[in-house]
Amino acid sequence: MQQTDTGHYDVVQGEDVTLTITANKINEDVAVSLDGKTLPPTSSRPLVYNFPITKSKGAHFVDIECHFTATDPDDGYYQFSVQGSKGGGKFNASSIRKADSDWEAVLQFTLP
Amino acid sequence: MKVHSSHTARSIILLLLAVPVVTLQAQMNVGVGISQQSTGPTGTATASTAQNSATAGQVAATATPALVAAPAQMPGIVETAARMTAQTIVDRKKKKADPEGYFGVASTKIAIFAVAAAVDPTQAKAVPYAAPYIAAVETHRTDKQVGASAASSGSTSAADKPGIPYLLGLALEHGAIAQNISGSTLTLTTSPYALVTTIAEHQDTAETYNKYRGLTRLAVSASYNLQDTNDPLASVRRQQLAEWAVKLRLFGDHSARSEEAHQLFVDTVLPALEAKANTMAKALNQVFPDEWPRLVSNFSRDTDIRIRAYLKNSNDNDAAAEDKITQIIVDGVKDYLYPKIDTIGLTPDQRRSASEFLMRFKSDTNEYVRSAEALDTALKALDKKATLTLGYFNERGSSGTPNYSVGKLMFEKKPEGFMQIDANLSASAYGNPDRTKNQQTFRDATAALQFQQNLGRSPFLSNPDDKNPISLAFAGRYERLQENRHVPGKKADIAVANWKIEIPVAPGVSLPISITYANATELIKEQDVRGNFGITFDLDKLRALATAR
Repeated sequence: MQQTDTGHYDVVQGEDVTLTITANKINEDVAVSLDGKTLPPTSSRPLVYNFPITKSKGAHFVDIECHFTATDPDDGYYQFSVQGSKGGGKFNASSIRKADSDWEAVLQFTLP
Repeated sequence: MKVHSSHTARSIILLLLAVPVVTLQAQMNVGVGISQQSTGPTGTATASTAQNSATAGQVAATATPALVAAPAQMPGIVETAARMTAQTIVDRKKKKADPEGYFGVASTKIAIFAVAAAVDPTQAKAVPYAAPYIAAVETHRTDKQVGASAASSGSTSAADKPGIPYLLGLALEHGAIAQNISGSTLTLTTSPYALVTTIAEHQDTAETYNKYRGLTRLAVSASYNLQDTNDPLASVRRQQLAEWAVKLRLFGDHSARSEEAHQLFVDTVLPALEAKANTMAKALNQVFPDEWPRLVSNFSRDTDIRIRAYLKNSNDNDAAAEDKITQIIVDGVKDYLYPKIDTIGLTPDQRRSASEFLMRFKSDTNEYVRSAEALDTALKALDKKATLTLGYFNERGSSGTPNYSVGKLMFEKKPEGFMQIDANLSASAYGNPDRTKNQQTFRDATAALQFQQNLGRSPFLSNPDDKNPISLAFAGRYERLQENRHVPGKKADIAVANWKIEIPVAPGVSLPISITYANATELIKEQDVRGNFGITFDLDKLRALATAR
């Protein structure tokens, strides 16, 4: 896996992707979708999601919808990190903060 | 209509090979002058601009990619998306919160809105880019005892509250509730959990909170007699210690991080949030097949590089920075995405998906906002549930009184449509009673009841995010002081009435002012009326406001 920017990654078919979401100062109030289907976490605290790259061209899209309640502190945030099974290391995939104007993040995993 | 001259020849060739429905599109590209508004999402020019709000059902079913004209003017939704993204980046820059990293996770969403707005401009005008839901900053808690307990010489409170501070509370008070010697105290309050999270390997994550959840039940505090009010912290010495206390919340974790709060999220918001996520990811998968992801990736990468370069070299003020980053993003859409939709085109399936996406995104967003507001209402109800805290107070003996220990139960409830109720029951005992002063091991028993009404947001607060209310409280307190029994000039049954108003005067800073009537004090059988005042600093609220949008 190679990182193009915090939301875009070059991957190869057959690679397994691990997405980790760490909730800071807040509960894990998150929904994640892979290509239009809800992706359940494999574990929580932190939330870990695994999925394989099954396509041969195009991309897989992961949409992360974060939620903050009125009673969450304003410096609460979700930190994302991404790792592929075919090397490249673990990448910081930015974050979503309560003070952000939009609480949605999209990660794109592009095939060659 | 913007004419991309370098693409025109290729466009004409493609159009000659394509179906007749794109004929007028070709004329647009060679400058015949048909306005963008006369072209529908299928590329079919229509007689009236009113008919260009093509829905999915109107899209012709053909597998041939058809060209979609790049909008003559940047669609409002793209401008909005760029502006909101720029605002976030500028805000993060101010807070040193990874401003460079944000665009990468926002860009693909901007891309699909840009393409969808070109496909279905009318529908795009009615869609909010982000959910119009803003969770308020948490500054309205009125359940914490930031000042000293009623037994302290400087206290302004007749009843103690059971809430546990999260970070640090600090209070300077002058007065006395139960004694006839007024003093000034400095009270510091915190939770052991806050100390755990200051350790580097224990950031305040959901994992840490779950592991050390028990510590959030605990609070510790220390009150010091002030010698020099000009330098309060100089009094933070053992010799000046007037009271220390440990509180344990027995039940009533009503915080947004409680298990109960998370279950409310799962029941109330999660289905809507999942639907919204699925709509977005499904649309991206359908609208951006094959070579599109690489185009989007290039748009994101190169725009990201330009934003990073701007952030590195700019000293612009916030407004100017916001404008410039907005323009960089808009230029990115103009340079990388729109040239492609009028050259490589979009299949009917892509166009249908883009149009459907706009409709579903709007309805999903509305449903999400409704559920988020329902959750906030449910969390407010949760916050009104009863809390019970057990406290141990060690009073360091002032005005000739030996040290003694106090055990106290503090209860709080906020009934719907009624005032906040705080009730205390306590008993105290001497470690080394002075028999010459008629003291026994058992010292006293007290009961206190307080009703508190919040009067609305303080008018002294300039920050609109600060919802801290003025509160008005009336408290009654009864104390049975055993050592005063049968002692001339002293009274064993002491009753106190206390009126207190607490006025937030600055972010996280409040001014408590109270008037207290007592039928006697612990030391003398004389009626007593006094005024007390203080200043409290609630760092939980200060922190919330310091990081507010």
